[in-house]
Amino acid sequence: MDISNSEDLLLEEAYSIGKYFFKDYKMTTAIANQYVSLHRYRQIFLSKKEQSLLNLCIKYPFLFSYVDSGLKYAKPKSALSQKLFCMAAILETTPENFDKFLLDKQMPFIIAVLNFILDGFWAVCKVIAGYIFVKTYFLDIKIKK
Amino acid sequence: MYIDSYVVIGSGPSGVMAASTLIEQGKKVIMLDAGITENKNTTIPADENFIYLRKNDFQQHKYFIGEEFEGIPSDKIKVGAQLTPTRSYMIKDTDKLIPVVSDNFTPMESLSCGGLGIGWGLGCYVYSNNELKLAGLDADSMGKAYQVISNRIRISGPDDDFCKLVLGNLYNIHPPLKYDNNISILIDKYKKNKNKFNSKGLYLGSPSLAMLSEDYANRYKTKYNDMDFYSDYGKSAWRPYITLEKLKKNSNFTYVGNILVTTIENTDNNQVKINYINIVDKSTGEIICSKLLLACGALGSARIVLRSAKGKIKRLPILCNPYSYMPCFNIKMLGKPLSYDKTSMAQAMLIYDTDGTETEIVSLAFYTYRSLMTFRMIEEVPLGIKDSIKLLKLLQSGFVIAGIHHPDFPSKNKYLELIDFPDSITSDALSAHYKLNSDEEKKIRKHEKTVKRYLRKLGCYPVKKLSPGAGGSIHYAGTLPFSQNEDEYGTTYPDGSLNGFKNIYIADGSGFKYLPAKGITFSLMANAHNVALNSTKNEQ
Repeated sequence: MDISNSEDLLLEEAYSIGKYFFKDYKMTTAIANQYVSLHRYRQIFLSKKEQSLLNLCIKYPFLFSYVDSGLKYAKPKSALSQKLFCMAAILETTPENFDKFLLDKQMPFIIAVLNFILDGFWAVCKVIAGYIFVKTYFLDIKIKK
Repeated sequence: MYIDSYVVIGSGPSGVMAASTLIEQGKKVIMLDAGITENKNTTIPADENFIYLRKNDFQQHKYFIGEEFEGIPSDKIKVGAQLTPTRSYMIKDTDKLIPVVSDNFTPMESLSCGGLGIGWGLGCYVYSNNELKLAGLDADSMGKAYQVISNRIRISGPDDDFCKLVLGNLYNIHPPLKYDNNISILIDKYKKNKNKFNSKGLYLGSPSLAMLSEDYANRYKTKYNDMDFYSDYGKSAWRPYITLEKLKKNSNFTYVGNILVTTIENTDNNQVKINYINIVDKSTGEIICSKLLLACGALGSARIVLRSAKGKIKRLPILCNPYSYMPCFNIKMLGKPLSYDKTSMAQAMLIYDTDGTETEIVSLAFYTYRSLMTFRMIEEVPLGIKDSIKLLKLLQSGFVIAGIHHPDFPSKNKYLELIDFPDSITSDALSAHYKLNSDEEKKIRKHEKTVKRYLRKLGCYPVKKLSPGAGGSIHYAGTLPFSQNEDEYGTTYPDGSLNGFKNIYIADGSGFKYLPAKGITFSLMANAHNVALNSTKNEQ
C-alpha cells in the first residue's frame, strides 16, 4: 500500500494547500471529499523527495510560495505541481471562493495597474528564488569544471 | 439483409442535412451511426447564468471539472482543449475504434450521435466564388444550398456591410448577437479606423453563428448565460440532434446506432453492400441497399474507402486548416469585470483578405475568456499557481483569444495511409502525415505578422501564440478530391459520386480540393444537401 495517498495524509495536504492558496480558506467536507476522490481517479504519487518537500512546506507554510513558483521551471511535470494545480481547479469550482478567481466589481484603472506591477514583480522574484531553492533541494545543480 | 432505402452513414452536420434533403424528396432513409451518447447524468441547473452558478451552485464541480476530474487538463494545450466535461463524450472510444497514428498530425474525430457537431463553434460562413471554384464546388448550386441550410438551422449574423463578406446574399438572417463589453471596445476602435483597416484587406464584425437571437419554432433565443460550452439550454444553438429529433418523427426515417461501418462494395447488380461491426457486442454484419451516402467526415470516409479499395488505393491526400490561438490583451479592460450577459461563442470575426480577391482569406474568431475557467489558463502563465490565480483574476476579463485559421492547399507532404494495427477493433489504423512546406510556413508567418500589427492598432495586444499542432483546427477535407477523370480511384465526381463505385456518394468534405480558412461546417452542410439531391437524380 502506498502510504503517501492514505486518506489522513491527503486531508492534511488538502488543508495545507488550501490555506496556502487563500488565507481565509475553510476546508469544507465537499472540498475534502473532492481532493481525496481526485487521487482515486488520477494516479498522482509523490516521489520520496517530493513527499519530504511537501512535508517541509506543511511544517513551514511560508515555503509553499517558493516551492510553487520554483516548480514551474524546475519540475513543471512533478506530482507536487499536479497536486497544487488540481487543488486550484477544485477551489475554483466552490461558491465560497468565487471572488478569488473572478473580478466581481470594477476596480479603478490605476489601482489595477499598480496591483499588476507590484504583484507581477513579486511573483517573478519568487520564481527566481523558488527555482534556486527547488533545484538545490533536488540537488540538480550541475557545476561545470 | 436488403433494404430498399437510401443509407446515410454518420449523424454529424453533413449526415443529418443529407438525410433531411432525402426525406424532403420523399425517399426512405436509414441512418447508420456509431451513435455514442452521454451516459453520465450531469444536471446543469437550467436557464442560469454562469456567474450565478459560480456564486451559488455547490454542485458546479460536476460540470465544470467533471465527476471524474476529466475537465482538468493533464498536459499543455492540445486538440480539443475547449471540450468541457459535459461534451467530452464527443470523442469517446475514438482511440480504440478509429485510431490515428501520427508523429505530426493530431486530428479529432467523433463516434458520437451528432458527431463533431456537438462541440462545433457554430460559425456559419459562405465561401466566396473564388474559394468555391478552388474547392471544386459549383457556385450556383452552393449559393442555393447555403440558403436551404440557413433556413433549416437559422443564423444570427451581422446587419452591416460585413454581412456580404461572411454570408453573401443570404436572407432570413436573424439580427446579430450582442457583443460583450470587451469586444465592444475593439469594435468601436475599428469603426473609427475602418477605412484604414479595409484598405489593407481587414474587416471586423459580428460573427454569423447558428445561434438564435430571436425565438424560432420550438427553439428559444439565447439568454446570454455564458454556459454554451456546457449545455444547449433552449436549443438556441443549433446542434445535429435538433434535426435528428425531427427526422426521427418521420415514418420514412430510421436511425440505427452502435454501427461502425468498415467496408463498402458494389454487388453484381450495382447495389451497395455495407459491412459493419456492432460496437457493443462486436458482432459483424452486412446490409445491402440501393444507394449509400457517406457522411462520416473526411477522415472517416477516407478510412472506409481505403479499406474497401482492396489495395487499389495506397494513399489519400488530406487538407486541414493550419490553426493557432493568440491570446491578446485589451488594456482598456484592466480592472473591469466582463459583461454579466454574454454568449461563450465567438464575439467577433476578423477577415483578412490577403490578396484582395477573396481567395486566400485568413480568418480570426475572437473569444473572450471566462466560462472555460481560470485553471485552464494557469499552465500558460510563467509564474507559480497562486500568483497566476491572483494575476489572472485581474487580467482575465481583458483577454481576447483570437483563433486564427489559415487556408490549406493539397501537397505531397499531406496524406493518409491505412496500416496494420492489431489493437483496434478493425485491426488497422489511419496513418497520417502532415507537414507544411517552407513557402506555406513563410506565408503563415507573414500573414500573422500583419494581423498582429492590426490587432495592436485595435488596442488588443498579442501576448503569445499557442499551437495545438497540425490537426488542431478540427477542419478536415480533401481526402477524396473532386475529379472529372473516370476510373481514378480515390476521387469523387463533381456530383458527389465516388469514383470506381456505383451508387455511392460522398456527402462530407472529402471532395473539397481546397480548404478555405472560414469555418467549414456550413459549407459541409450545403454540400451534403447538394450531394443528396444529386443522388436522387438518375434513379434506376
